[in-house]
Amino acid sequence: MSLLEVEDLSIRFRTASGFVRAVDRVSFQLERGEMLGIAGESGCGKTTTALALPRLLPETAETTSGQVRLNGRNLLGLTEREMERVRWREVAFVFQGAMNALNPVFTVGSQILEPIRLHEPETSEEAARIRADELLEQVGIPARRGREYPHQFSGGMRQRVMIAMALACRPKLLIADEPVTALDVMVQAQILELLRRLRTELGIAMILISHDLSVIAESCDRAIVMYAGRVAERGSVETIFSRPEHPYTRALIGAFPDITGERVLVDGIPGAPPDLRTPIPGCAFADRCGLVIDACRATEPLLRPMGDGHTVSCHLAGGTR
Amino acid sequence: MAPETRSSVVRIARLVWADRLGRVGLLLLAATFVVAILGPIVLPFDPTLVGTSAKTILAPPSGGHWLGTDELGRDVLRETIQGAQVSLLVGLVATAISMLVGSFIGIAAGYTLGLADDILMRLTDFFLALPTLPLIIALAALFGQSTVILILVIGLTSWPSTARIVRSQVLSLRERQFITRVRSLGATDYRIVTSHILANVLPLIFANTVLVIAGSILSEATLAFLGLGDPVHVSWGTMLHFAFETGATGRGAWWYILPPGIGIVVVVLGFILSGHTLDRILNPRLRNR
Repeated sequence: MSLLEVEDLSIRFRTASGFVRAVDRVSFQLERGEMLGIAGESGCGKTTTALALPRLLPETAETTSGQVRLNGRNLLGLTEREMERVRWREVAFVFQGAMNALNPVFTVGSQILEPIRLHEPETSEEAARIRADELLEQVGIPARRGREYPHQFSGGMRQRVMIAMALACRPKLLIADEPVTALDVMVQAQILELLRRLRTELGIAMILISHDLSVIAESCDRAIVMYAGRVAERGSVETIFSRPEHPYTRALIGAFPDITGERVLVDGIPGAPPDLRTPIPGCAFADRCGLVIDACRATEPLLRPMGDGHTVSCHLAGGTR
Repeated sequence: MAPETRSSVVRIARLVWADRLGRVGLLLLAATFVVAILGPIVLPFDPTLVGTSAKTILAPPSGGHWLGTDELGRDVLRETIQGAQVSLLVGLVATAISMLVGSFIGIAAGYTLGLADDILMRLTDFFLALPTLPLIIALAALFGQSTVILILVIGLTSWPSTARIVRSQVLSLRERQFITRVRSLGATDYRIVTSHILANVLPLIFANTVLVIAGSILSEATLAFLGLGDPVHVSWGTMLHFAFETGATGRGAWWYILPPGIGIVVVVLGFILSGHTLDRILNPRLRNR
């Protein structure tokens, strides 16, 4: 049994102008200690999918179908009380822009302990302090700096603090939403290195969400490329990057410069993602796709296995083209 | 957080001390508090110890009475020292009430929003519009003149501005990311408010308090001067009231009018100077102005 099994997950948002289908029949699995990347441009449903797992979506969101099974237990069927016990102790997360989520008037050390204070109130003050020092050391911050305030920390260090906080209750799964966005490249590399190290040391499974494919290529075992709320392509990182089948994945990869190659202008992807308020009959990427054929607009391409756990939702996948 | 709080109070006091005006304010306050706390022990005032002959009534300063005597032949120096205690007591307790009510209503309104916010803010408007003077005259008529009534009236009419200031700060705080984070941790609203929100509005409340104390002391002096003070617990306002009433001004008895007047100025100036410095320290946007 996998650690996490997401099956057929669909989520829509109530808005003033109707329902927006943010996540459309998304399925994936995550093994223990595995690192999964979710990629895609803004508004493709990455964050919504991630927030749906620990059930932290805003009230306007509605899960219309699917299951989220953690160790075989469907989280969507739990009561809010039961869910409270799952969050942080089994599934922890680092939110998007989390490094700005520290209270400026409390010391960093005392804030790291908040998950423990709230979820393991039986922990003694002394044991909690030792744990805070341990957590800081674990993410590469000297324990004594726990007595300092957030403004004395750099962005990278604050992000480390947020990761330490997520680890406070020893979770089995860590969801990190854009953990390195807004950090400079050197610090990005350090944070990714930290995540990889934590995963080997603690055996935590991770879901890494990023709009930056290079971040995922560097750290993850497997990747999911999402487009307009749907899974476009899913497979091992090697396959996705060396043999991408979906035109959208190829376009995304093409949008990154090759540092060993010639200096060229990178290709953008013309157009914008479709309006998710109206149902899309065919392929969601059809309007922006250079290879579009009639079938693309008529019928929706279903995810098709290409071998080695590589699945693609494109009519042309596997063909000769 | 207790040791942190204590050390930050010391740190803030140091910062106020570093400012020239702030230092003057702190010195004035220190002097007043020393006089108010130790003075009555060294030079106790007995309101029943009245003069025995006409010569002791409104007598000018002399070796026996350094600041002369009042219209009943009592020692003005001792009376002024006693007055410091009453004025400070009324100012501090009334401010404490005002701060508690104002902070509570401000935080409750700003954090809950919606209907509760509407109701609380209309209540605030009501108290803001309430005329203090007629209210206290009416209350004094109903309950008699007492220090407690004076404290209650000043306290319960001065909280609206605090409530408004605190509410506006909480409105901005509640949207900050760390509140979302703590909420995602499963913290209750009670915990969020008592730990995260409160810790962030405390400096604001603190700076505001110092300024409200000055206002409360002035209000007390005004009300007592108009004869609404407690005649048994003589405050500076009460002294000025009797000085005025018994014609001390007309008889040129400056020793009866100046001490309480200077006392009020010293205390109020002390609080205002240190309060403004504090405000500047805690509110970086006001710096360099």
